[in-house]
Formats: sequence, C-alpha cells, structure tokens
Amino acid sequence: MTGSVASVSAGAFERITRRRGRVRGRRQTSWALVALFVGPSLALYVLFMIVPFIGTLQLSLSAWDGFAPEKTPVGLANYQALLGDEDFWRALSNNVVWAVIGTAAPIAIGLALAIVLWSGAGFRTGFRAIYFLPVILPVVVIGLVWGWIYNPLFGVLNTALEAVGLDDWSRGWLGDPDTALVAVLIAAIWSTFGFCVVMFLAGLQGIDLNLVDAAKVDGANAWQRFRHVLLPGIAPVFTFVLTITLVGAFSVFDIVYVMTRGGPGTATETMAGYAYKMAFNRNFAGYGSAISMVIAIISLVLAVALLRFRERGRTR
Amino acid sequence: MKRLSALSITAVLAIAACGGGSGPPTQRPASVAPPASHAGQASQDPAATASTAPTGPVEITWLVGIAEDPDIDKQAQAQVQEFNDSHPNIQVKREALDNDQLRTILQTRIGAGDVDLFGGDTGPGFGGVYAKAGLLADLAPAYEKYGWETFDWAKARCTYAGVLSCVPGAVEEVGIYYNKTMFDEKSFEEPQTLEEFRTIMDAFKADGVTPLAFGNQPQWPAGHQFSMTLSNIVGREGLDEKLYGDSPWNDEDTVKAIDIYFREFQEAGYFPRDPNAVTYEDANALFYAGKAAMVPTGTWLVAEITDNTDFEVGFFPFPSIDGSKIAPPAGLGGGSFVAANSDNKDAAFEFLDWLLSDEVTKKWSLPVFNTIPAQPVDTTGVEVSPLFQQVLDDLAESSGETSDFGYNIDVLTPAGFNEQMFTGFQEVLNGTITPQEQADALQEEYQKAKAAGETLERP
Repeated sequence: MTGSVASVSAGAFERITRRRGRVRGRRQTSWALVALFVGPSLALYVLFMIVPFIGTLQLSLSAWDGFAPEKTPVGLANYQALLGDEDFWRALSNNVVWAVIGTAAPIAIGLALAIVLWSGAGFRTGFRAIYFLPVILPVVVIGLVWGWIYNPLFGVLNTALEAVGLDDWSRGWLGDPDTALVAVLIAAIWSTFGFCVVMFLAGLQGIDLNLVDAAKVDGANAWQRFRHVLLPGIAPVFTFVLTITLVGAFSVFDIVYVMTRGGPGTATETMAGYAYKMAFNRNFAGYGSAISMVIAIISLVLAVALLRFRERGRTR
Repeated sequence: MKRLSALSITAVLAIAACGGGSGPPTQRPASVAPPASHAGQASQDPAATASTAPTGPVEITWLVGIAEDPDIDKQAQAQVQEFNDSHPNIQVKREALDNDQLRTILQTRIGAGDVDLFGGDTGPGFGGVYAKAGLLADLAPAYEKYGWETFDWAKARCTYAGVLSCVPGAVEEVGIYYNKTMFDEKSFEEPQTLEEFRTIMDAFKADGVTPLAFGNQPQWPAGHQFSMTLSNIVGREGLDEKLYGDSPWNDEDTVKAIDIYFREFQEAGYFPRDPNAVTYEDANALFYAGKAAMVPTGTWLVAEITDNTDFEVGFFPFPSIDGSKIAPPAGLGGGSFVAANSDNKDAAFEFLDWLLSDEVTKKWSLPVFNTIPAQPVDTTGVEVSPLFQQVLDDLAESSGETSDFGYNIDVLTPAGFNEQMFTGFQEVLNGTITPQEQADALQEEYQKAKAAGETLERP
C-alpha cells in the first residue's frame, strides 16, 4: 500500500514536474519574446523620451545659462518666476486661443468632409489624397507659402481683396497684432484638417451600416443618426484626434517661428516659442526648461483627462 | 571697377580702429568669410604656411552663419576648398548654418568636442557668454606666433576678462543705399540733414515709390535703424555712457531717436506698408526691382546689391538730426573663435592665419566678399566695385575724428536688451506702445542685465 502510494506519488510528481517544466519553458519563451519585441522600442523610448524628460526636469530646477559647466540648483524658483511673468501668461493665453480654434476648426472641417466622402461622394481616393497632401508637407514650406499668400507687397490675398473692391480689408496680415495670430492659425488649420479627414474616414468605415439603416427605419433624421450612431461609432478615433490636436496646440512652435517669430511684438508668441527664446536667445536654459515642463504637464493632463473621459463613456 | 588705393583703405581702417565697435546683429550671418588681410610677419604664401602644418592630416570643423546670398556662400566654400587643396595636412570642413540654428546647436557641438572653429558676435550676448563659460581658447599665443596686426580697438572687442579670445571679423557700417538713377531723375543729392531726407522721401512717396525699403519681419533690422538715429543724436560718447551704464536708455534723446524712425517715419508712410510683415529679403528685393528708392542696411550687403541691381547704387550715412553730427554705426561684424576643447587648435590657428594673409584678402575678402579687414592691409592692385569703393570713401570722409563713428547697438548689448529692442520696436511701429514706453522697457532690461553682470565694462 505504501509502495503503491509511493509509486503513484512518484508518478504524479514526475508528471507535475514535467508539466511545470513545460510551463516554465513556455514562460521563459514568452519572456524572451517580450524582451525581443518590446526591448528595442522600450530602450529607444527610455533613451529619447524618459532620459531627456528627466534631464529637462532637472534643468528646470536649476539656474543655468546653457554654457557654464556647473548648474546651480534653485528649487522651484523658475516655476515661481513663471507665475509673475507677464510674457509667459501672454504666451499661454495665445496657446489657449490656439487650442480652442486650432482644435475645433480642423476637427469640424475634417469630420464634415469625412462624412461627405463616406456617404458616397465620387473620387473618394483622390479627394482623400488631396486633403492629406498638406499633412505631408514640411511645416517650413507651409509657413513660407502662407507667408507669401499674406505678404503685404505681393500676396494673393490682398490682391484678391483689392480686385473685388475690398481695398480697406487688405493689410499686412502677419504684421498686424489684431490679425497675426488668426492668420497663422488658418495656415495651421489648413495643414492639419487633412489628417482629421483621413482618421475620421477610417473610423467611419468601421461602422456597421446595418445600424445606420436601422436608425433610418426607426425614423432618425440625419442629425440624430450622426449624434447617436456615427459619433459613438467613431468615438475612439474622435478622442484620438482630439488628443493629438489639443496636445499639439499647447506645444506649437515651428509654424509660428517660420511665419512671425512670435511677432509682431509678442502677438503670436506661444509657450514653446517663449521657451526657445528664453533658453537659446537669452541664455536662461533653466527657465526655458521650466516652461517646457509646464507644456509637458498641460499636455499630460489633457491627454489623461481625455482618455479617462473616453473610458468612462465606454463603461456607460 | 575702380582701383582701391592702399592709402585710402588704410586710412579707413585706421579711423575705424579708433571709432568702431560693432557689427550686425546675432540674427545675421556674422562670419561668412572671416577677417581680411594683414601685412605682418605671418607667412604670406599659402604654400609656405603649409610647411608649418601639424604632422599627419587633421580635419577641423568650422561652423559659421550662412551667407544671405547663396552665390556668396558658394564662394566662401570655394575659398575653403582652396585652403584644403594647398594644405594637404589640414582639411577644413565648413558648415554654414542659419544663425539661429547655429546658436542653438553650437553649445552642444562644442560640448561634444565636435567643433574647432566657429563664428559669432563678439558682444556680451554671444562671445562674452562663451568666454564666461570657459569655452573659448586663448588666442594670445597665436597672435604672437603669427604676428597678426589686428587693430587694438578690434582686439579689445575680442577680449573677455583680459583674455584675447577671438579674431575680429570685418569692419562694417550701417547706412542707406540709394538708387542713383532715381535720385538723378529728381536732381536729388545725398541728404545732409533730416529735413532734406524727409523732402526726398516725400517726393518719392508722392510718385508712388516706396521711399525706404525697411522690412522688419525678422525683428533684428529695427536694431540697426535705432542705432543710426541714436548714434547721430548722442554721438559715440553718448552711446558709451549708455553702454557702460552712466546714462539711462529712457532719456529724451533715446525717445527722440525711437520716435523719428519708428513712429514719425511710419506714420509718414516712408516704409512699405506694414513693415512688420515684410521680410528683410523682400525689402531688399523691392530696392533691387526699382520699386523702392532706398534701403537701410549694412555694408555686408554690398556684394549682394552689386550682383542684384542693374542701376547705379550709392550709399550715405543717416543724415544729421537737428544739427547733430553724423555718426554712422560701425564696427566689427562678428569674429572667429577657437573652441577651448579643440584638439586641433594649431591647425585652426594656421587656417586663421591663411585667411588673414594678404593674398587671401586681395583675392577673396575685398573683391569677392567686399569685406573690410580689421587691420592694416596693402591693397595695391585690388579691384573693387564702384559701390564698395563708395562705402570705403564714405567711411573715410565721415571719420575724421574718433567720435564720428557710432555703434551698432545690438552687438554690444546683452541678450535681454536686444530681445526688448526687437519685439518692442515692432510694437512701436504698430502703435501698440509709445516710444517712451519702449525706452522705459529698454532701460529696465539694461538694469536687469547690469545687475547680472552682463553689460559691457569700461576697458
């Protein structure tokens, strides 16, 4: 009895050991696969995102001119200084304007055009390519082209206005503090809406047409079908596009720099442009880093808030 | 082409030596081709200098601001190639970048030991900062070894905390180029007073021609215009007092200098419409196309103007304001620095010596780049364009005394002050702020910089 028990136990142990060995082997294999697939991208992410982020954070807590070998720790002094810096608040307010108009406009235009294309408009592929073209153009090119359009000496906008008798409306669009920010924003919207079109169109193509037909049968009008069928259907894409454009609005730099350098005066200065000027033109690298951290924090908060908003919508 | 007399250029340079002290702003290419000639003890023959080259091939990296005119930049590259061909042991790799880009990457590149030689402004906002950080090599031994005869005033601009740290670039002046054909058609002479200047501009405006092609979209050109009016009103001594902190930047004279150019001229319609939206290049193009009678800028543009115009061009300094002396802003157009951590300092010094040689000056600096050296030079036999000759003559005529030169302010003032100049003058042009408010803001920035030890100290 004892012997049989012992032999059964030994057999069971052997089977268990073999099974555990296979499980361990599978686990080892899966960890190796994880390391193989995730490792390189993780390493790159750490190297080019996390390390610079930590470096910027450290810099933001120091006084450094960008040249001296030593950096003087100053705690939160740079952040405290930001609170009383009128130029920073002006730049932030420009970013807020940018976030509102620069997010709403391309999304609205992009969504409308995507729906038109999705509804069966002809030459869908051609239009999609045309709309997407500005997205692949370098920002410098976009800035230069729109700069020519707005040029007070030979720009087509003023020429067109004068041709139709609206001489009083013609002006140096980028040199007038009342119009410069909007003028740059229009160029930015032009460069962004194509991205929204393509993303929304991709989202719309994933919607089950039976749902739309069912809504029609139930008597839903166009707005109701959009509000209760299409919009929920593209909610993940919508949140993604909203997040990308909103975060981009708070870190915008290149197109402003190319078109106005933040001018006239500080009329189109944004936080990123102000950070650049502080860090590289005025040699306040620590202060510039603090501004960069503020941009990062705002972007992070917005991104997390939007994602949580989306998740909450899903659970409902 | 006129032949440039050795006497005239030596006189100009000697006078500039006494009076100068500035150059173009940081946003402008500062050193397409560094300094020009020297008549000292340095080796005159490029082949001879090769004999003193370090053993083994050495590559030195030279970072400079890119030239505004692509053709001139190509010529600068060809000049380097000539050095490389004649010096097989030293190969210079010239990297020409937009000046903003240069400022952004320079510190990182130097930190990585990737730069041996670089160009930039000699003022406290650039050279002074690099020197303070210990990033510049001491060039005194090279000056001694090669016998560079740089003017003392120019060397003073390259000296930080007693250490001679750069080789001065060209001498430059800010003034007004004009279309001689247009002037002749109206029988206008070069204006000597502000009233005459206004009369001329009013006449061109009445004809539908832009009187003064001033484009201020990049912001830095305003600093030059301010330098012209303020230099005339307060003279060199008055500017010295402001630069050294003995006199405020928000006094009556400064406000007047701002008011004349940025409010009165703007309201009178002397500029292209909305100058804040007009780029420097577009403003120059207006002049080249004959749509503007004059363009206010510096002598660094002589070569480009010569290349781009098919009419005769003249040059005059900003005229007298209410009986003031004419004190055109003039001085150094940047300098060349050797990185303290360079492993190839000797090779860099040798390259600088080659650039400073008489042969290179006669072949490249004067006739091709139209740059005026910051040291005595024998220019016998050098041919220059009529416009460049006039620039030299103008410098010579207007500089009988040391006090006859003003300063290009932004080269000598700290970064925060310059930033206020650039953004503030746009706002004055727009009418967003008054000249007095801009002057007050300049004074505030100057005080901040002085408290931080960033302003010039009296030698």
